Amino acid sequence: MQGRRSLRLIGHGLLQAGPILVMATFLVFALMHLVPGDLAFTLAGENATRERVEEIRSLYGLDRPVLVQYGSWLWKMLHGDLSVSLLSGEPVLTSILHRLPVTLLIVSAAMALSLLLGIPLGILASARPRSLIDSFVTTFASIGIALPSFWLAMILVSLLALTFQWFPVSGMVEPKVNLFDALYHAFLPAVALAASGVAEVARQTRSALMEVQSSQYVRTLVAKGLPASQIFWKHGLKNISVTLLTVTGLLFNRLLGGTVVIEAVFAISGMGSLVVGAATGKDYPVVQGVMLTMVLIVITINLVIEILYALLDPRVARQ
Amino acid sequence: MTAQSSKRSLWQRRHLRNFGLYVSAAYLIALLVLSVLAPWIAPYSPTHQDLGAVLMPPGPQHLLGADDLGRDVFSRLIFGAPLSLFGSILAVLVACAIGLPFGLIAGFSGGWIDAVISRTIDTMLSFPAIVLAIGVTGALGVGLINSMIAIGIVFSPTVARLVRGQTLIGREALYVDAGRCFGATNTRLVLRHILPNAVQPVIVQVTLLLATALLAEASLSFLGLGVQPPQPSWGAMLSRAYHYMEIEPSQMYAPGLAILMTALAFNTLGESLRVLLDPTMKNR
Amino acid sequence: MRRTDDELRQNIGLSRRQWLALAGGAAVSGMMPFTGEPASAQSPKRGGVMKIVSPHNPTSMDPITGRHGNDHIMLFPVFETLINVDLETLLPKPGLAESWSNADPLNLILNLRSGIKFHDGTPFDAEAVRFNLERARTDERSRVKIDLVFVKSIEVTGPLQVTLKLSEPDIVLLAVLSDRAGMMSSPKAIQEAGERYERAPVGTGPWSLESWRDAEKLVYARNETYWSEKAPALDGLEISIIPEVNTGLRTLIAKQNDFAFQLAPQQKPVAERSNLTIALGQTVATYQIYLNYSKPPFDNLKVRQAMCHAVDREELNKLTMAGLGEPTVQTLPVAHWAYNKELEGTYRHDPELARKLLAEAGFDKGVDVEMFINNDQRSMQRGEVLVEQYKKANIRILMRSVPVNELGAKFMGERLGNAALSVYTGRTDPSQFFSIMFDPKSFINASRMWGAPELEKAMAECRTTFNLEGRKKAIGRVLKIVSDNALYVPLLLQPELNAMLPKVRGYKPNMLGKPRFEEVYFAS
Repeated sequence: MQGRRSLRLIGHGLLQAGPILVMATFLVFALMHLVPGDLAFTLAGENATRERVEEIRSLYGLDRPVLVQYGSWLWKMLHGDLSVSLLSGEPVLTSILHRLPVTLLIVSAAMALSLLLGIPLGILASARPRSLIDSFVTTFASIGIALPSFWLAMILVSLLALTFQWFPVSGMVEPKVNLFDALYHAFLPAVALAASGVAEVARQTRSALMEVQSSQYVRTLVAKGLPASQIFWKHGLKNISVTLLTVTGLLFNRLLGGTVVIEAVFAISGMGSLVVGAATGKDYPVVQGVMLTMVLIVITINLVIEILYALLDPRVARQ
Repeated sequence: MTAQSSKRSLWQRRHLRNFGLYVSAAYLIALLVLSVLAPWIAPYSPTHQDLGAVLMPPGPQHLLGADDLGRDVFSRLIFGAPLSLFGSILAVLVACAIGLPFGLIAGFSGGWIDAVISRTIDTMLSFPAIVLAIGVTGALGVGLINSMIAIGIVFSPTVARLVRGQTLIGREALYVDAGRCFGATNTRLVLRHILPNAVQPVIVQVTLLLATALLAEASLSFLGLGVQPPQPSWGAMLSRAYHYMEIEPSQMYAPGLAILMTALAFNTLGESLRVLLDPTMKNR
Repeated sequence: MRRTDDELRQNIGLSRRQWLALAGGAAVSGMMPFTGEPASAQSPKRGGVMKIVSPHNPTSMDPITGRHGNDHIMLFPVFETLINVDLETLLPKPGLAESWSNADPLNLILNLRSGIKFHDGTPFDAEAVRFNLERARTDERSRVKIDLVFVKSIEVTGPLQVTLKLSEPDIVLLAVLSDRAGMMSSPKAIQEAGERYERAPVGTGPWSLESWRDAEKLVYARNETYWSEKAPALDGLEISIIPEVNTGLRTLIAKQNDFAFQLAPQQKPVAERSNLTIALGQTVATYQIYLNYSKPPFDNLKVRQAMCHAVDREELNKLTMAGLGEPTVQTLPVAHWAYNKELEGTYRHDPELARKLLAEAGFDKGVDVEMFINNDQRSMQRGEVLVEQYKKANIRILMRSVPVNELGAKFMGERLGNAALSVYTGRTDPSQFFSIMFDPKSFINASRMWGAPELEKAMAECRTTFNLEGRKKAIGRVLKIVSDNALYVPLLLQPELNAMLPKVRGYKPNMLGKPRFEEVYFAS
């Protein structure tokens, strides 16, 4: 019974994600056509002969209707052919597969930090509304959300890496080479990235718990004389789990974007530095590849969350 | 919790909230004045180079020190304010110019039009914002205007989704039915009844978006995709300061603080407006 | 740290003998001693992998398709050139060709070393040389075609002898064969890899390329079958690409890497404070403003002269190179054998004169100039200083910052804008510089025309004069013509600043500003 329902939910989720995925690929494809001027010239690069331009034009199919171009582009993508970098000739898929683990490690570490610190802070704040702790958490949350993460990263580097030399200044170790060392390198970037995450999680946890507290249902429990701790563990946490799932999904998206800037500060060769370098160098196949990968990850995460929702909250499933 | 204490704390909170509103509004107005009067207030031209002051620490001659080319950091900070403000506002305007009509159309027409627009919104929101902005900037070319248009495009689905929701609510509301009975056209309905109803939440959202746009502008400029030198921008100043961190670390504090405070002010203003404009929020 | 005059004279003296020998047609012996350090008490310890930080990702590892002068640094470990350059004097010396003869100026005979194999085991012989040169000369993707325009045919005249038949005498060919065109690739590897060869190069060098992760890392391993008894001490090289030089230096301070090159001169105090060893040298790499003199306003000589007078090279040097660069009005450093003393004192900083020149040219309200510039931080910094300086002479510069590859495409390819600020990384022979900069056929020459009627003849003379004194005169004459006509704005010669951990020994900066690691070793 349960299994069947899950299957149906997954099917439903896929049905939702499908159109988004198709549209995302189209957006990524269309991006290249925003480029002003003749794309073939741009792609052919410096010192290109007229023949080379024409060769590029037919190679990329730029002389065909846009939808046909999209179709063949998508077909290539589906077969794992993400084309090659215009600048270095390295296959885009190779670059991405190589850099993705590093970026995912930083994002996951930042995510873990956000949840591990944010949830307790939110609980603490909501347990004693308007207390000193609450004001502290609320203020911290406001600042954390307005804080430019790369600035925090700079300060961390200046203090903890350069002055005290507790952490490496930059660079990264591949997780598969030495996971511990990789985590050590990922620590400062993750902290810089997590600041806004902690703030967001704390804030959402707090307001969700406050809402539960002020609900008629909990008020009744209080009136009945149930101990506060029991109310919290039994009813509070269960009620905020859905909120937390939503926050996790949104946060993942934001952290994935945030690494782009953080990687620049720490000179980490991840997806972020890849896309920034490609955008400044007008290496469109690489830009497209990174965007496609990132959106694919986000859509997958959203799908998982959608399913978890339904499993956690029967009301969603019935809808 | 007694009724009395609850009342007092409510008063306190409202007071506090208003305090935040006043402070942030005052800060933003001051920043605006500073932006307009920059040429008269700033002690130096933002591009004036002084060989003798290269990487000078803060002092009487240069309040916040001088950068790698001997330019006054304080003056550059002041001249950076209008760029940052203008940039954020431009981005949000672009977001509204795209988001508003699409949101209205989706919410009002429903059916397959709504489905298509909604899916597009979902799709765009699936991209990490800054990555999408980098992609669009990469295609359009770097520079303040292009990067802000990119950020505007990236934010447009947020606006569209909000407006769509409001329009849906408005459409269902009774007065629309009443209006329709009197033979009003669709356009008239949208413009006279639904749009005004959606304005308040949009104003709140726009204020909050200003903060996000400011941070995004700073990030792109830090990465070299936004404001181009020699124009001073806070993000680009930070990127320069980062290069000379070992020699003169003090330079990275002021621009970062300026970004933080301005974003904080926009956020506080937005939150306060949300409460002020939404009667149901007042007691919470 | 400029070499003293005495050393300089010695160098020129030595090279003159060398030069005369080859100009006279006598084959130079392959037994010429390497100009290495005098044998120190401590002999280099063999072993170790050096971790190097590079601010550049190579544009290609195929010597003939690369697009940037800094590629050489990554190419040299893998490739050897037919003719080598003496890094002290920039004059030719034996390379893979152990001797050569140009007794007949229209025939260059190269005698190759025997017993050399490429990394993939393919023997290095006359046929391989012919294949490589033919490819450099004719392959549609080759970017060195212009270097070999005077080569009519390439003939295998013995198992280890190749003869280049020329349509015109061309002394510069020796320099060309010590550059990209002279780097020898395994013909088998090229045929097997096709277009992918630029990511999997195979040469004869002391190291071979193990892997290249784009914009991240290049790993080199020792070539166990290296032909020379002077095999390098280091077992391998790992070149990490960190575009931002400050971050690069930080990794050295944190001991994550051993060696960083092409640092910004402003970083010198930081490196010193952090107890790193510093190697500072002067290079022939020149920062300069390229002008398109085929269209207004730079079609007017007075406006170009104003451009040269309005710039304050001393200030630019202090602001952007911590005063370590060498201001220049002629591209060649004072230490160069062909330096033209006559040009000293020309184009002094004089904004007033610049304004006057502009007014005489009919621009009393000043001129607007659209200048392309690379979009990295340090180029922007240089650009910002120049914009401010030119402002004082009523020359309003609009900076267009673009990626490296686009600067060439826009300014030189599409011929947009009026000027471009960039670096000329320096070739070994001044004549190469002239043809690349001023020959209308050259891609770099955005004007696509001769800047002065007498230039073509004067440049030809540089190529066809074979004795050193005569060449010096001919080169001096071209320098004078170029300077009189203000065809470009030379600014500064780049200092080479390298930093390394104290354990790194044996490194010497060279005039090309392109680090070589053959003689580097780790202290035990």
